[in-house]
Amino acid sequence: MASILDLARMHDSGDLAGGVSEIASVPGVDSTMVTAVRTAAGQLRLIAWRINDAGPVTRLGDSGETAGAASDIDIAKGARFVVACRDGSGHVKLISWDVDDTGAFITRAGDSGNQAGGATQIRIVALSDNRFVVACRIAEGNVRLITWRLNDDGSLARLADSANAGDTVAEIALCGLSEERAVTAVRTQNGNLKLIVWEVSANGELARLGDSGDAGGPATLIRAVVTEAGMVLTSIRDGAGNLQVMSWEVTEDGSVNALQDSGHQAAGIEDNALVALPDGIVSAVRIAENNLKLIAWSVDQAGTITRRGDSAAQAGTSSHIQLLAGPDVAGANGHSVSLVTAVRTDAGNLKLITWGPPLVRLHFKILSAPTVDTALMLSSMQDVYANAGISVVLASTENLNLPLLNDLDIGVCTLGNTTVEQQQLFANRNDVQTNEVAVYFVRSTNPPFNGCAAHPDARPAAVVAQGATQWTLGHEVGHVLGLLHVDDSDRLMTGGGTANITNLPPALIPIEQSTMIGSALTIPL
Amino acid sequence: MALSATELRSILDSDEPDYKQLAAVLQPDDLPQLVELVGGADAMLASKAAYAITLVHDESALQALDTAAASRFATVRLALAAGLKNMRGFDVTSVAQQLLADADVGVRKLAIKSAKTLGVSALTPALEALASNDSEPGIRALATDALNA
Repeated sequence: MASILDLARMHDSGDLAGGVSEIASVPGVDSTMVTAVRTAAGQLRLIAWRINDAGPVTRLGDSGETAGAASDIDIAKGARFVVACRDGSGHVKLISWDVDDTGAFITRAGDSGNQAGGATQIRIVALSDNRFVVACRIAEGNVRLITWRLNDDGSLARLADSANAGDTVAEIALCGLSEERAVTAVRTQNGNLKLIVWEVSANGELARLGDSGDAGGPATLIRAVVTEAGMVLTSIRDGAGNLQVMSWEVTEDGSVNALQDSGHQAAGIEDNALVALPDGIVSAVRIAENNLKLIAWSVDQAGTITRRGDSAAQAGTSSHIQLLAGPDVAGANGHSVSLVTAVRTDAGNLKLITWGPPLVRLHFKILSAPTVDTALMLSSMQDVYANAGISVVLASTENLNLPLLNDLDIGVCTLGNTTVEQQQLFANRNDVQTNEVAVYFVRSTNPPFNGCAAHPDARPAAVVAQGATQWTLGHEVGHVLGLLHVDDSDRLMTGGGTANITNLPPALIPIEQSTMIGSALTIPL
Repeated sequence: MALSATELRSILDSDEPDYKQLAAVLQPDDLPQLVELVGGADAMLASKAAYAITLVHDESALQALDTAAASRFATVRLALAAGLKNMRGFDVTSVAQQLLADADVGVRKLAIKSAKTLGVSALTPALEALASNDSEPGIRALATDALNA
């Protein structure tokens, strides 16, 4: 099952798409997704993609030039894909699309005609297969919701709207809470975040229920999602430019209560996207130097938000960030995509990036069997790393008969400094790929260490001595992945000896998880 | 002043002990604690303590070396053989000869390397014997290299 900690970059779509100035995206069926973009020429174009289980992205087909000029584009999926946009004359228009099973043919099924007036900030959500809600900012500056029915022939019929019940707003986010409720998260006239709950009757009539008042504080780049438990999560850029995530309870009567917030997290964000997964939420933000970063958050039943880790510097410069849950379908080789980001690259082109579970692949090279069984060392490491969302796999085991390297000279054992004996030993890399870690179990080291993670460039490796503890393997590989010692005996990377860990199992904290995922040796599952 | 037991263990218990830091603070008064650790049941800790003994630059350390050289743990004798190179200026001939004749190939390897660093002529016969007769070709090569150094 996909996890918020599946933050290892897998693949991307390369140069399969051209220039775009807006991106919207929605999951399709059978490991596909559809992006609705505004092309460099200002035209709406839909593109269907297949997300392959090992991460590569295949462009299946597109809508060609059938859509016309558009801006403020959003897309939702019911019985058909429905795009809501601002057409060439500035009016809200909904267009429904059919995507065939192969994804090669995207055909326009119908549209809403001239049933809506001028608006910007257009958002759409599907409440059911044939009922959609659009939220938009009308000419007077108010948020207006409009309900629509998708007819069998692909046309769209306007059902009702919220009239003047909406506040004056500068930004709008929209999410569906149930088939009868939607939530708008808006930036009000005074610059604050406000959540408004709307009830949608069977015939599409809209009624404003409760709102959050001024509990939201200053906000821009507002995004909102609903968790499986029905909790609303918002992510915003606060008044100081920092990312902040907030949890909200929507009660039976439709009132909104602020629960918790994340405090001020990533600084100086520009773009902001948010998605809910079964075990929490993931933010995708544009940070300093325009780099894309994914941040994982767990949310408990009380709404407490805990930052669990991030993707570090695995993605390059990006803007117009969209974030979707991946297909999460494991292929025969066990690979699966948990998240997909759709971004605008530096060159202005659309690119899809896939993300999956991070994995460390180990190869055991045994000169002397350790006192603590290697199976226990491995399972202990797997337990600790799993808490950081990182899988550990033993890819191979080989016995080496090298008596003169069995008591290994490790010198000063600092990163980047290796002895002749270490270089001789680490040359034994049968079956070990460049981005995999070889662990050599030796009888002893000179001087006596439990283990040593110093290794030659391009030969990631560590040694573990016979008298090592059950945690030494995870500790040394932690060094190989970039972790340093800490003065905390509750943690795996304690400098006080893994024999003296006080709170078992030892911990890896989020910043360590981020470093490990950022390592070239943490590869996608 | 001797390190407290807690201070000593906090250094030696590390997965990667800072022996440079340890060498800077060890005193002859610490030897009884180290000898006790060498004789303990924890082979890893005993080997670290044996190595630490070689960092005490004092005549009184020589007797402690004998204890380590007699350890039932090969890893303790290995640590001692590796650490003998730290004892330049002290007469460690007897312990070195004992380790050069050790049944364990690893002990012999590390003892040869230390003997090469120590440059003590009294060890030449033992090195010559290894260069000529050791069953392990690598040991013969190392001993030859030490003699030619």
